[in-house]
Amino acid sequence: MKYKYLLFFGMASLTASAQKFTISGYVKDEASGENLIGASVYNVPTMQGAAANTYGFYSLTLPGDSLALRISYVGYESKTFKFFLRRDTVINVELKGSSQLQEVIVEAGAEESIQESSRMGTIDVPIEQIKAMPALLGETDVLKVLQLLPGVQSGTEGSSGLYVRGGGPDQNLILLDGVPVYNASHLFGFFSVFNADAINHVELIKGGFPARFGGRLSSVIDISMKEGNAKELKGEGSIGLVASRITLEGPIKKDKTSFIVSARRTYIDLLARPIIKMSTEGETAGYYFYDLNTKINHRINSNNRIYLSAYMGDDKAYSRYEDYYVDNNRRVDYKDEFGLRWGNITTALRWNWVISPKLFSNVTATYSRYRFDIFAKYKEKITEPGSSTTMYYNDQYISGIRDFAAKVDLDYIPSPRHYIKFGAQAIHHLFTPGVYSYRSTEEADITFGAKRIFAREFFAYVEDDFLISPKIKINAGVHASAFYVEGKFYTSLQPRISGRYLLTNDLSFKASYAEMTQFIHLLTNAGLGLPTDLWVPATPMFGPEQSKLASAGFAYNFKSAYEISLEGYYKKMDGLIEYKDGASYLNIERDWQTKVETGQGESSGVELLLQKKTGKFSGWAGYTLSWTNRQFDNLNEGKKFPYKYDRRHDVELALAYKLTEDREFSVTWVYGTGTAISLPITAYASGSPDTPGYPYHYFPGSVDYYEGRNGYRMRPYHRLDVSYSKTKKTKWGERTWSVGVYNAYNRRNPFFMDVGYDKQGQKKFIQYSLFPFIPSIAYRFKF
Amino acid sequence: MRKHLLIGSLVLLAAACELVVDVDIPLSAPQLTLNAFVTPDSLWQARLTLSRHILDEASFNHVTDALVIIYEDGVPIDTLHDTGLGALYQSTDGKPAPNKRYEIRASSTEHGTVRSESFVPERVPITSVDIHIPDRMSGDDMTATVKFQDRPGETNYYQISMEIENRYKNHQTGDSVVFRNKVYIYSDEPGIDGDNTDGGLEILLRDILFEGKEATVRFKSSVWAIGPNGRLFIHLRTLSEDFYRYQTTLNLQGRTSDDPFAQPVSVYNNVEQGFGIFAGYSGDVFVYQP
Repeated sequence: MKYKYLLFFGMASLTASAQKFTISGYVKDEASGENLIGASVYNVPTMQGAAANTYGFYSLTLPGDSLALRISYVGYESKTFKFFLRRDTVINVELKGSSQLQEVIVEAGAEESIQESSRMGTIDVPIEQIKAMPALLGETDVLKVLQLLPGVQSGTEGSSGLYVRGGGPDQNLILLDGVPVYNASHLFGFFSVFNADAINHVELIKGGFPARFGGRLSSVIDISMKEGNAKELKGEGSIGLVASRITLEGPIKKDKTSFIVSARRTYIDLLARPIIKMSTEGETAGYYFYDLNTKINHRINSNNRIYLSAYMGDDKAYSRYEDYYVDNNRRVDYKDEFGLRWGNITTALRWNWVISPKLFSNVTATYSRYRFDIFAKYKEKITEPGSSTTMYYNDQYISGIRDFAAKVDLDYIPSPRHYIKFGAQAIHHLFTPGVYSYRSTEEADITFGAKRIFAREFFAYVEDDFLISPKIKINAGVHASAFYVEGKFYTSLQPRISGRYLLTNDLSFKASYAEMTQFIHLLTNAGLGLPTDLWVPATPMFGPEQSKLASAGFAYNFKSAYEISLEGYYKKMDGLIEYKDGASYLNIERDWQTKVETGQGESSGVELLLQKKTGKFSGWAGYTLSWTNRQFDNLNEGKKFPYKYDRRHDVELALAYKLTEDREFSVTWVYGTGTAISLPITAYASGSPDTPGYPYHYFPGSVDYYEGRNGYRMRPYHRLDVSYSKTKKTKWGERTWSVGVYNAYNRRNPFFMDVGYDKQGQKKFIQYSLFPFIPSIAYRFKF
Repeated sequence: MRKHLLIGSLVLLAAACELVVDVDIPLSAPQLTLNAFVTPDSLWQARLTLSRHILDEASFNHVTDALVIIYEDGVPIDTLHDTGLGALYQSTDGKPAPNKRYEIRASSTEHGTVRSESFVPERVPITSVDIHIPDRMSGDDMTATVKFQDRPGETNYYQISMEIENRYKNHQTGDSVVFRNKVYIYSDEPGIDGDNTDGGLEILLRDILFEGKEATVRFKSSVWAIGPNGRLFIHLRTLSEDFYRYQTTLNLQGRTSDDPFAQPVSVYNNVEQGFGIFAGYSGDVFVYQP
C-alpha cells in the first residue's frame, strides 16, 4: 500500500514536471508603486527568465518543478520566492529601492545584461543619473543628456535637437507614454519639454529597431511617465534661475487609483515685466514657457487597469502696447500686439488587460497636436459723441500637425524561449504646413500658403524575441505600414532582425538589420531647429523617406559592473527633403512643395560606449567616428556633400560621483568636430551681356563662390560642465542645493558664422557664440 | 509687413548671440574669371578679370595679357584681342553662328588657362506683343503679353525683359538726350523660375508648360510713365542652358544674400580651372511707341 502511495505521488510529480505552468504578475517599487520597467524575473536553478514590460507586467512559463524565482532590478534589493510550481500562479512583487544606486554584484542572469540581449543600439539611462548630470542654468534636461551618448549629435549650441546616426531631428520618434511629441523643445531648443520629475524611464533606440516601432528613420526615444505614487502623497520640486517646477503624486485610493501632476514654468517675464513697463511707458513684453504633465491610473481588478495621461506645454514670446489719446472730443483707444507661440498637447487613454497569464494587451487611444503661431494684431477704437467705430488688422501665420490615433499591442509569452509582440495602429493626421492669413476691416480677408492636408497612416507588426539556443538569440519581426494622402496610397514592408551570439559568458557578437519608412517630413531651415520648422506629409509629389540600417558589433560585460559596446553601422536613406538653394522660410507665400528638393543620404560609423549604471561612481564615456553625407540631384551640382551635422569625431564623458551619502559631484565633457557650413571663400566678377563696354564704367557685380555645400568646418566644439549638490534630510523630507557651471572654461563655441565687419571696419568672418561661462544654482526639495 | 513679422520673431533668437570671434580663411591665389556672353548679332566678346579673397574689398583686377581663342569642333576660328576697355576682349569681325557649339580658351602667362564650352541657340522670334497701359490716375500697373512659338523637340530657355526709353531736351545745349533703362517687371505666370513675386529686371522661364506650342507670357510693371517720343523695348532672348542656369542662380544669390535663414546659393559656373560663364543666346526685340 505504502508503495502504491509512493508511486501515485511519484507519478503526480512527474506529471507536474512535464506540464508547464505560467507565473505572471507585476513588478513595482515598494515605496511608490511605480512600474519597474525591465525588471528581471528568473528561475535561479535553470536560469530561465523574463523581463517586465513597460507596464511592469511579466510572464514566465516553466515546467512544474521546484523553483527559486528571483526578481531583481538595478538599484533595488532582489527578492527570491521558493515554491513548487503546480499551477498557473500570479505573483505581484514590490521591490525595495536603496537610497542610492548601490554597488551591487549582479549575478549572471540576474538581468538581461548587455551581452545577453538580442537587441543592438539600445541604451537606457537611469532617470536618477539624468538628474545628477550638470545642466544649462540648472534645468535638468532629458534630451540634452541623451546628446551625450555615442551616435547622437547635438546640433547647434544649446539646442536640444538630436541627430542620430546621420539622421535629422525629424527622424526621431519621441514618444511620451506612447504618444508622439512633434516638437520637443522650449526656448528655441535650449530646453526640452520633458520634466524629469515626471519621468520614470527613458530608452534610446538608434539601431536594430524592434518591429513594434516605426514611422521614423533614425531613432526611438521612448519616455514613460511615472504612474503616480500609489502608497502615499509625495511631492518634489525645484526653484532654479530660469524655471521652477513642482510635482505632486499620491493615491486617490491606496493601491487602486493614483495620480501625478507635474508643472513647470519660467518666470523671467514676470520678473522683467515691471522693468519693461517702466522703461517703455506702458509696453509689456516677455517670454515664458510652461509645461504640465498629469496622469491618473486606476486598477479595476487584478487583470485590468486604465491610465489617462496628458502633457501640455507652450512657449510664448509677446509684446503688447496699449494706450489712448483724445483729440477734438474724439477718443482713440489703440492696442498693438505681437507674439509667437508654439506648443504640444498629447493625451493618451490606455487600457491594460491581462487576457491570460501568457497574453497581455494594451489598447490606447491618443491625441497629439503641435502648433506654431506667429501673429500681429492692431486694434483701434474711435469714440465720438454719439458714435463709435472700430478698425483692426490681424496678421497670422500658423503651422502645425494634429494626430488622432488608436493602437492595440499584445504581448504573448508562450515560453521562456519566445516573447512575441504584435499589434496594429491607425493614425489620422491633419497637417497645416504654413498658412498665412490677413484679416482687417479695411481689406478683404487674405489666406495663402499651403493648404491643409489630411492623411491616414496604418501599421501592423509582429516580432519574436527568440532564444534559439543558449548562445544564439534573435529578435526578428516585420513592420508593415501604409499611408494614404491626397489620393495616393503608399505601402511599405519593413523587415527587422537583430541577434546575438555568445562568445563567452560575458562577451557576445551582435548584428542587426532594419528597414524603416517615414511618411512625414520636417522642413527645417538652416538647421537651427526653430519652432518655425514645418511638419509636412509625404505627398504625391514627395514620397516617404526610407532607410536601411545594418550594424554589427560586440557587447562585453566587465565584472558585471561595466557594460562595453562597440558597434559599427551603415545607414542608407532615400526620399530625404531639403530646401532648395536660396529657398527661405521667410518666403511664406509659396507652397512648401515648390521650395524643396528630394535626395539621398548615407551615414556610417563606429561607436564605443563604456557605461556604469550603479555604484558610487557611475556614468559613461563614449566615442563616435562617423561620416554622413547627402546627395541631391539639384543641389551642389548633384555632387555628394557633407551633412550639416557630419561629425568626424565625437567624444562624450558623463560622470557622477557620490562623495558621501548626501554629496554628489558630476561632470560632463564633450568634444565634436566642427559643424559643416557653407561659407564663401572667393569672390569673382559677375557677367552680363548688358554690361556697358565703357572702360571707366565697368563695375561688375560680385559673385560669392562656395567651395561646395557645407564645404567649410567651423571650429571644433568642446565644453566642460560641472555640478555639485548637497542633500540634507529635514523634518518634512529632504532638500538639495545644487550649484553648477556650464562651459566651465568659457570656450567660445561657434553657433553660426557670417561675413561682417569688425570694429575697425575690416571685412571679416565673424563667428557668433552663444553661451559663455554660466554659473547656476538650484534648490530642490522632496517631501 | 509679413516678413517683418517673421524677422522680428527671429531677432529674439539672434539677440542671444553675444560673442564675436574672428576666423581666418586661408589665402588662395587669384584665379582667372572669364565672362563671355555670345550672340549672332554681336562680335565675339569676353571679359577677363581675377578673383579675389572673399574678405578683399578691392575691385576685380583686369587681365590684359591673355590670349583668348574661339574653337569650333576643336579648330581655332577666331582670336579675341584686348580692347583696353574694361577687361574686354573682342574679335575683329567674327561673330558666332546660331545652332553651333563653341569652345573658348583663355591663357594668361601668370594665371594659367581656363576653358569652357557653350551653345548658341537659334533665335525664337516674337509673334506678337499686346501692351495695355492704364490710365495714370487708376494706379494700376501696365501689362504686356508676349507671344512666341516654342520650337518642338528641344528644351528651350527664355529671358524676357523690358527697357524704357525716354527723350529729354537739354535746355542748355538744346540737344535731345536719350535715357534707356531696364525696368522692373513681375509675373505670376506658372513655369517662371525663381521667386519672381517681388519682381526683377527679367523673367526667366523654361518651355516645360508649352513645349512646341505657342507661348503666352503676361507680365506687369509699375513703371509705365512713357514720356513724349518715349518707347518700350520688349526683349525675348533664347538662351543656352548655361546662360539660363547662370542667370537663375546669380539672381537667387543676389536676392537671398541678406537673408541669414536662406540656404546659401552656389552660382552656376562652366569655366574649367577658373570662374565665370561662357554662354550663348539669340535675341529678338519688339519696339512699342504709344
